[in-house]
Amino acid sequence: MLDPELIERFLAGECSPEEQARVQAWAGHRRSGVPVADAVRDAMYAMQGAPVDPEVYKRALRARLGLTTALTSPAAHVTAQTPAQPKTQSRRPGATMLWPRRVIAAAGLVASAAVVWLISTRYVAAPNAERVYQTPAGVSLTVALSDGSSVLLSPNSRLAVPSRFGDGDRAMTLSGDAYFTVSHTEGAPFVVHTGRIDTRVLGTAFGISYRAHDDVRVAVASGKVSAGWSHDTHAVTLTEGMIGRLSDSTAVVATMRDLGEHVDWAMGQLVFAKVPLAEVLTAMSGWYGLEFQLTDSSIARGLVTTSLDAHDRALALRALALLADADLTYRNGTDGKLIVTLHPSRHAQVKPARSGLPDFSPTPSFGR
Amino acid sequence: MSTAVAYLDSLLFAFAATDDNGYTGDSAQHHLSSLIARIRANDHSAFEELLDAIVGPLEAYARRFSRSRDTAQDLVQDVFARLWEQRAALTIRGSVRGYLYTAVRNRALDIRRRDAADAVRWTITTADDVPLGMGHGTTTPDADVERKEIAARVSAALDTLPPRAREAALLRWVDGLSRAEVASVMGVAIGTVKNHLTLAATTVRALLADLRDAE
Repeated sequence: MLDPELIERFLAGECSPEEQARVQAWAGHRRSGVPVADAVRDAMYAMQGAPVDPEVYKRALRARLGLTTALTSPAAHVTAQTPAQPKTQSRRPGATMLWPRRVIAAAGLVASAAVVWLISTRYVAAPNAERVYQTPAGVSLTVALSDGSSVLLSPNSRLAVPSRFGDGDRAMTLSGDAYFTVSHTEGAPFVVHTGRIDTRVLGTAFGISYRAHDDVRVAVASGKVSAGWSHDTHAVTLTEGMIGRLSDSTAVVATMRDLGEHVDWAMGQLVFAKVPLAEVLTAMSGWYGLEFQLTDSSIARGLVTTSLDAHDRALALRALALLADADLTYRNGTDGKLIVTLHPSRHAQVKPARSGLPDFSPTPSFGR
Repeated sequence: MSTAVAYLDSLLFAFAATDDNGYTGDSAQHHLSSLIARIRANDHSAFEELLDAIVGPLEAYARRFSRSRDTAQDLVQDVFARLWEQRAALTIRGSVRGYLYTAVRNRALDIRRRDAADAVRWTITTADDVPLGMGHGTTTPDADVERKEIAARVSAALDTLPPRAREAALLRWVDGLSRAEVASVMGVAIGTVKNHLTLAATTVRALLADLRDAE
């Protein structure tokens, strides 16, 4: 009988070649010629599952930690070879003069690298510093502001908050979609800049949607906001249940009994009311971090009314398959993004020609 | 908030229990330790190097606690986000790898406790996750069938073990941790780990004999 301790080390990959040969000889071969011991060890390794792309983590963590880009700070490498307390050193007469030029240069490098770092993460409040939150596709982020307000930033969005935020001035700049819950602070208006439009508020909850070169949409869930053009006194006042759509020159205000898709994503649902399927796919690809491909463009026709779970991609995709009457296949893209291909459903080969724009409904609910 | 405190506590506990035996003189280990030193000095590139080095195995580990790949990723992300946020106060005695596995494990157990208290969340389970990495591989069908069969047998054999022995075996043979690291992750003495592993290895030995005798 083989010593279990030897098997233990064999499985952990800590055997000498001789020991390894002993285990393999003892366990024999399969009919196919595979050594049994190797097959078992490989099965253990395989339990690790599909490989993981670290880039996915880097992107998500950069967004979450407010690091706009991959910052490279050589500070730590250099610090290791540079005296840490130059002031103490220089008290000794002549000590500074004795430092090799290379080391002094290194110290300078440490200083500049550190400054770049600190500004970008807002540990030093330089006058014009701002903290930027940038979410990639598939990642949403809640930003807690120092005044007690919070911003839920939707995927593919960017929010810049000045470091002086809160000092009597609560302003920030948004590109993308965000849902704001604002705490009331007397005398400190809360302002969101989006392109040429400013939205001002005193204690409320509202959503803003703005993509470059597009209209700004502001939807108010509770309270009251004022939306208008920067450097202009004209503004529209929006109260609970109202949506303002502002272009560079016009403002259209509508009242909705239910704000629906404009703010529901903040509540964990992506809601679509009579939206072309193509737009649903665009929204889903941004939100869940997917790429869609169609084998037949007729799939994307039709209007959809549905509510998708914002946090369960698998559930949402199953709902999509039903809505689009399509079969889905999956593969991994080169950038780690999941590519979803929609094929016309095999079960629907013979179906009536779609006349007009069918309205799929209601909300599908799986696994609940 | 209390979850965060419990999380910190568990980290502190885990590393009070880490001893210095095992896993010494390994250059990979030194590399990880030097990355931690650079992270403490605000070096974000070191943080990303650490991700490159270890995020794959950690996610694989986290998946054993999670019902979907997404929740496993969230879990691992949480651990790294906190590591970065608390870098200034970061002290790791012993193995960095052991530290990170412990953090993932504690976080997973925290979430499990929280979710257990939140019955509604648990009922929305078992939606099949998106099948990732499908349709790859160039092996012949026969080899595939054989591999699947052996994988099922291995998995079934491990399932017969007591939970703690199974956990030790997976940490050691699937995740590739040293015995000392397994001990620190599980919060037990290294002698206990050896006992668990001997039991597990005996089970595997029976499986090996089985698979051989089947021929």
